[in-house]
Amino acid sequence: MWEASYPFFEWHNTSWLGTAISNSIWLFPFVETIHILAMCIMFGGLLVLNLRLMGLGMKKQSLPMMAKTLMPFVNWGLFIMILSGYAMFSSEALKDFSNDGFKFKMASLGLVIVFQFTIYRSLLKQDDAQRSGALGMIAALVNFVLWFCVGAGGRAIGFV
Amino acid sequence: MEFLQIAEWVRDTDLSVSIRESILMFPIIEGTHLLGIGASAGAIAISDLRMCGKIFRKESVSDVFEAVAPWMLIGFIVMTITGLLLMWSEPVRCYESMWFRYKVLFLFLGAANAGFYHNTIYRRRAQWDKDPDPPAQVKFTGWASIFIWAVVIITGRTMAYNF
Repeated sequence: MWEASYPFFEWHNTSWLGTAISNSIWLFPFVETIHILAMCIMFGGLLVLNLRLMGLGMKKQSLPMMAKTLMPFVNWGLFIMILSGYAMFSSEALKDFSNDGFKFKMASLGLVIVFQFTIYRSLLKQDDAQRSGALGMIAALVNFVLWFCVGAGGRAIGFV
Repeated sequence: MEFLQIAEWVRDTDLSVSIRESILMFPIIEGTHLLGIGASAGAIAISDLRMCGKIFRKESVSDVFEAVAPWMLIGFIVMTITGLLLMWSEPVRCYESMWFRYKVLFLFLGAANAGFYHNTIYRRRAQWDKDPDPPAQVKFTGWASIFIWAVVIITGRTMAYNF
């Protein structure tokens, strides 16, 4: 099934965006740096929310209030990471097609995005009294582990 | 003894050679360093944004700081260890890189910015801790911190490329 998606990768390899980046000395590092800076914003927000889900950190504020403040940062960070990530992908699409690190990263990314926009999101709307402490702890850990897998997979692309 | 001589001496040590030539060690150390940015800079960003009066305005500045401080500390330790190992594995390249020199400069600026803040106005925080809009010095420290750490990250990533 993965093999059937080959045309998608092949198309990107000769796309305008892909060739612009691979022909430039500085564009890839520039886009990659934006990717990393956006990661800081997203991880910072998720760090505080996950700590709160585990019962640590700023206990004076309710989790729904904290989520209201932080989720825009998390979502914008994610959006910019997806855009910059897509740009980098375009410049090396064929390499990524056969790269185990890339496959692992995409699988983890798919999982965490689904998780974050469903189960995680609904937990963030619940006050401490309504929310199961154990469920909150598990959700925070799942979120941490999945994002760690995305990051590690991303790093592995250059080394496998 | 000159820096370059020291760098060359470090490059020839067993530790340096083994990291450089290992298939797994360098990727793991560098990968940890990169992911550590998320935790450490992310925690700093949250505290800085409160200092700038942008988020959590109903919380006191010190409450936000204290919530993320353990992660800043853990992150700082992880980044320092992995960073030193990375530097140890390619000392001459680091020494000769202009980007690396800027990175070190801005690391020192970051430390100075934080140190000055914590030893001056932060000591008097009882007066302004709960203000949604902190005093000018606090805001300046927050924005300076965001800027300095962005430069550290940018120079750090750019030094990996051979421009």
